[in-house]
Amino acid sequence: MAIKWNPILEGEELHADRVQDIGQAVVDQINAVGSNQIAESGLNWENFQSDAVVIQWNQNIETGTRTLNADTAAASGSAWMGNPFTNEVDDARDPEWDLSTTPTGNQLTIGSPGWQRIHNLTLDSAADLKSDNSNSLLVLGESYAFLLSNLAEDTTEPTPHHLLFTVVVVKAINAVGTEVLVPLPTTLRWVGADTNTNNSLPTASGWVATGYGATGSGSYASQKNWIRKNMPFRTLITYGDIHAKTFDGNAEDSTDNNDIKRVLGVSIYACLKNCSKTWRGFGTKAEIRERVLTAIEFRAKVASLTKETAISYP
Amino acid sequence: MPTYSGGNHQDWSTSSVRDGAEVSDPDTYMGRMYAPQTGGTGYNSFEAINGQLQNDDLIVATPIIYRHLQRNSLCNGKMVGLTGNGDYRADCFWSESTGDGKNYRLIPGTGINFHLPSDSLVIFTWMIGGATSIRFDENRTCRMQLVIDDWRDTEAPTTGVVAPTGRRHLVDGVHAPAGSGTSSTRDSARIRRPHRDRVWAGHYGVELSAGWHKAGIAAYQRDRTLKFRVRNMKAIWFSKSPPLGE
Repeated sequence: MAIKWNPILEGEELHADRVQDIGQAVVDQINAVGSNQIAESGLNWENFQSDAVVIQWNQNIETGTRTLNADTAAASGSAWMGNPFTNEVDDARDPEWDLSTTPTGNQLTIGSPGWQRIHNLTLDSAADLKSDNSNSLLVLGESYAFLLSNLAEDTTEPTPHHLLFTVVVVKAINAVGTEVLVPLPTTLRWVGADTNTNNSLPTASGWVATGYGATGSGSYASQKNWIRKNMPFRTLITYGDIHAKTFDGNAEDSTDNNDIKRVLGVSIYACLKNCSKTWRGFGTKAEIRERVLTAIEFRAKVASLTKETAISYP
Repeated sequence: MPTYSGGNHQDWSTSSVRDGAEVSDPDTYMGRMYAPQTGGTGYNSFEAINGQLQNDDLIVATPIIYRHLQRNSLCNGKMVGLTGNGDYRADCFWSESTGDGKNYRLIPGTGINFHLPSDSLVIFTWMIGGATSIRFDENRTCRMQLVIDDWRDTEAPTTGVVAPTGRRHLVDGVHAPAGSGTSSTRDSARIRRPHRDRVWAGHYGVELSAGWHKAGIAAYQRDRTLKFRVRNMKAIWFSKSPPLGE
């Protein structure tokens, strides 16, 4: 954040009004710092209030391989992991979560078909996000998608339009004290499968002799198993970000300043999707290696306010 | 930041600042503008910006509270980066044939040094991308890992040391088409696949003690060439000690 003002130039005539104007401009700037003077979309210390205090933090790193299989898709119309519906006819349909209007249910479908949890982090103590947004939960996460392929990892087979999705899910407490799952739509990430064949070349390319991708064959792209793609997210969660009627205590439309939404932890959920009707029979498989999930609860106040009066300054 | 009352800034330009022809004297002017001053009214110095509150800025009988803490006394950060491409020929940079910890080298632009005034929670975030000319399925792809307080290549062998977040790869990016034909004809048709460039946007949190620390992304690749594009490496820290000797 830079404060801009017109400096006095050497030799400039210095009238009292000029000095007053410059001084006042700086005062105005100090007292009304605009949001456009804060770096946009970048996580840095300037994003935090100068008195931001960490209440608690927790981190969980998994290095073992987590495998997801979508093997129930032998025919069009079968259910796919990640899709809460039982009929996957519409190729354009993205994975969805349940837009539950009830105050007690999970907001996404778990299981197969459905979303699978690939990483989990439980806070040491529940974070009560307040309706005045005076506290927050900074969540940073990353999944390393190592493999995305057909079920058999067969590199001679065509590469259907495999997709792997991840989303951050908050574990919140509903009005009757039950843990429910609330996805955060802005944290949805996806990666696609990779292919061995240079399908950017015209189909008449002479260097592809036979097989999938061969000249005039229609250029099926064959499978490449490893993708090694990074699926990161960095998000700040406040009271208003948990869009659900599933929190402890007050009604969602309450205007009580003391409203809270109690968060027990955060998770990463994943699902698979094959968007190619023709090749659904090959199934879809994903291997996810390293998963890192970090959550930090902030309060924009010094933790022990009773000591404020004891601070001598400077 | 409390509201700063400002004041009469004409004080800065009285008498000695101006000569008879009203020609400015920048040194005197700037001196008064930021004159250290914790009492009296003086020149209404802007030193308040730097934490030197004057009596006039304080409301009588109101204690100084957390809002008056100097900016970044509780949290602060630092960022490094690089704007250019870093090109590597593997046989010039990595002499070992194994990917032991000692053989990893720090990537310029990702190495960050910083000083913690107190014990702190430190969050590292970074974004690094690149490309490698390793051929498909050679399984010798570039490996990257986070190192903290340890520049791998300058210290004793650290075989077996596991990076805190595990390792990431730049994926094999050169393709010789499959199908029929001799190996030589396939090799002659090799193409590089730009869409195989990879990015690692990673993070790691750790509690570190007061003092100097360093961190960075180290890499290893046995063969061929590779290219790194570093965007940034950040360290953001939050003090775990009560402020001001509380």
